[in-house]
Amino acid sequence: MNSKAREDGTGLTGKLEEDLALFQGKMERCSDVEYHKFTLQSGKQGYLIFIAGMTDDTRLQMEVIDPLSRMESEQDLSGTLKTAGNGGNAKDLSGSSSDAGQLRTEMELEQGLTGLCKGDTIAILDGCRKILLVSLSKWEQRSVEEPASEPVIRGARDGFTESLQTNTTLIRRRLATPDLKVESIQVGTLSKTDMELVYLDSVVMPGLVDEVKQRIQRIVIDTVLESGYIEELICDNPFSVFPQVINTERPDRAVSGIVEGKVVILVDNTPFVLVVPGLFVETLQASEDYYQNYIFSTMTRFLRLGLAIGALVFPSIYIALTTFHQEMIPASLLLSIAASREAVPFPALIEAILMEASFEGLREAGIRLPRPVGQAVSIVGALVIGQAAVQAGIVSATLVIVVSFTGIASFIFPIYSQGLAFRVMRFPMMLLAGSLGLYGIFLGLLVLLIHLVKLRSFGVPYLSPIIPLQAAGLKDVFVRFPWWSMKERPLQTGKANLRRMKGNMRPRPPKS
Amino acid sequence: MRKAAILLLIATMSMSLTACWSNREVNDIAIVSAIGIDQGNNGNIRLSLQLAVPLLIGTGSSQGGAGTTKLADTSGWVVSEEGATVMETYRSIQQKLPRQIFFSHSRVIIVGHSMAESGVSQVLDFFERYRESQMKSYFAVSATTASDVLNYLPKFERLSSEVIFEELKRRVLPTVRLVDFLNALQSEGVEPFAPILEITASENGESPYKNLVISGSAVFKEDKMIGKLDDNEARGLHWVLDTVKEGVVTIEIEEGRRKGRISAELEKVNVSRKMKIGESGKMEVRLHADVSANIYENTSDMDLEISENTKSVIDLFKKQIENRITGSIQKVQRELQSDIFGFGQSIYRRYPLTWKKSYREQWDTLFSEMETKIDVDVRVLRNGLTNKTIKISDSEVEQK
Repeated sequence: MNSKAREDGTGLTGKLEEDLALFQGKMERCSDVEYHKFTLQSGKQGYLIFIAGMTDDTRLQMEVIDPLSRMESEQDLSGTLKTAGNGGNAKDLSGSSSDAGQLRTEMELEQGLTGLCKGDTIAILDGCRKILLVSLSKWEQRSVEEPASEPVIRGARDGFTESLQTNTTLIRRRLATPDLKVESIQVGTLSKTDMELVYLDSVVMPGLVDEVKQRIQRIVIDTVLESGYIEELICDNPFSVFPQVINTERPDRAVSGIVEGKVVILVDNTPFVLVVPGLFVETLQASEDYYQNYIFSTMTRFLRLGLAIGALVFPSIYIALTTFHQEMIPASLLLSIAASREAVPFPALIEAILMEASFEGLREAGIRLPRPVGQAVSIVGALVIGQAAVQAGIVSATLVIVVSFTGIASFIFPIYSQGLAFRVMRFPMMLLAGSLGLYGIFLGLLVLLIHLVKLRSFGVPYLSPIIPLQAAGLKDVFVRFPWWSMKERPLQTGKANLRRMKGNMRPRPPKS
Repeated sequence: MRKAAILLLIATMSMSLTACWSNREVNDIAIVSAIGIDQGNNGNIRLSLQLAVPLLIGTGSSQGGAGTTKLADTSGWVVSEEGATVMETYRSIQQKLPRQIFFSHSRVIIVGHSMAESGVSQVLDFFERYRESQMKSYFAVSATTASDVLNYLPKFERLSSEVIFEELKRRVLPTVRLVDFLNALQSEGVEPFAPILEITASENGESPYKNLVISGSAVFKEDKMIGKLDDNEARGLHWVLDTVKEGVVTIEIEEGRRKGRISAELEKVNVSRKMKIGESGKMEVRLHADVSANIYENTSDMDLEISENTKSVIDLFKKQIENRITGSIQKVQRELQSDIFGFGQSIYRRYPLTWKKSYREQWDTLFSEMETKIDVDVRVLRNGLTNKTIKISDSEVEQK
């Protein structure tokens, strides 16, 4: 095998200076690569190659460089490095086929270089064809913080971070069972992004893991910067606005998906993990719904549903009623709408699009603007759009109410990407309302409904359990049943292991 | 995929071809809040439209700070024109207006007194036929002319149409919507009626302030007004039609040391009617009124805690209600001879064959010969917050 590698020109020669030149050639114009020469007491020389800033300097010095200088011969080398990498927990290391996590040897130069680029330290030795890789990687990381995109009042405050390892830990800490499988996949020819598929072996929807793996292995792409790349490359209908994969920053939400038989895809370098399959109803369920009183949660769900519909059609209904069906507005309301529209020069459709667009602009600017300026924008926006525009007679006060209501309503989605979908669909609905009135609105809603019914996420109908109807599943859609009555996992994904609770868990006062 | 995209593109583009067909902005319509019809010259009609002027209605905050001067103002504007038909007249009003006349929100249709007497069917056809339907709006007859009522300057509300609408909705006296009026007009065995609107002074004598009130009912025969019922008779009509929602009944107490009156508020009124044809072919209508009332005023010294007293009070209430109803029925039967109560229709429903065979043709004469029996049940639910009456102490009385 050694000889084969060398013949291919992908291995080391065994001559130190030549090998060093090989590395230096490959890592040409990489000023962050450092080469550290060391000499064993036997006189044998070698090099440590590592990338500054990705290696734990103190440990490198204490656990590698210092022992090396005291070392008699190369026989001890592997052992020393092993000790360093494993933090003192040495194991027998024989041959080159070690796959122990923190120390390994590679024959192929390419693999050695990949390891180097991911933060490993390489050791090469005169007269040795093996590349020794010690994992002493360490770089600056954000600590576990409260997820910015999904805050809760009641519930865990930890959120995923950019580190894959931390994220896996956050899940593992919530599911202490060997049943929890974490499979690793790498995607990206340049980025070589590590990904992990996390699922419960006994619960996961049959065939789902293979399907997910297959879809991910299909991907050949140079870089994966965020899980959004993966989401778009594995979804069922790539032309849909609706998110068919749930993304979340919350470990509790990810774990609840795993427990329901779903697969969670963790991607390195992003705090957003993917949960597949993603269903429509999930985007209206906040993780907090399950922590708070179920009656309150039910009320919130109804509110959320109503506001979701409002976010989609409220401006269009305003347009349709004021330009086509004035007879449908109660007389006194019509008079006050007419009074507020008296000086407005635009037709209702243009007026509404103008306002909606400026609201969207305000929202976008609010995200993009540097923090110190952000506050100024919101004040100016509120003043200009809310007050000045009305007083100047450019838009009507009624419309400002409509737009602000819609604006608030479009933020109620616990899954932000569903809010985006509704926000986008609002504009075609407005155009339909402006050209065909209420007829247009219902035409648009019908088309949307047909699309949603057709949509599938990893084989599961997107609107399930509503369409196709599964009566048991409705316990957790419009209303949130109390925990003691939700004895089964959702049917569409939890078929493999339906029961999640024993018998009658309803608490009762003791009989005495 | 490409085909679908092209199809979608064509569908989207065809949407814009409609060019907002039949679209009209809120500020391009003239909202008609009330319609008045009077007799014009040379057999023409005079159509008056009360238009709501949104600018004058304002949005509250921007129009604030109005003082008493504002009270003499109204947000309505009455435009009128003469013409041969309603349609033609409405077009000639349209000619004078920058905005499209919009009828759908008309609250009330008012017909002038002389117009009502000469027949209303030819002017109402338009409102039944036109697409901006107003079947829901109220129908009323003005004591003078319709435009007088439309030009009334309201104190409450911004428009006189609102005043009329709210007053009619309260149903202190019987009121009627256009659809009911037309139904009565076109059905057999029932004749239409309509409330009369009148402008009166707010206080007795000469007062600069005027009120717009419903005073009695106009009784129609076919489509012509043939007479009117005064307030009390109209209330009787209210009872017979079983449309009473609220009201007060007052009785006089003659016995006891101190004479006085007792007033009761009606809590619930239910009037049912039964039709009967006797052996001789004589028809009889039996009205049964079920009344619950609360006594809220007692100016006599009658102690309502004594059950015999309560009984006699109830008897007096019964008599009072009976009188009210009979008074109304007798007036209509004897003087006006127009079946606004719909007794004929009730007979038709109960005895359809007999009705068709022998009554339909001569109903007008038969109606006035009909016998009525009235039977009232009164329950007094509460005596108010106190059972006692305000009494001057006995000793003081004796001293006098």
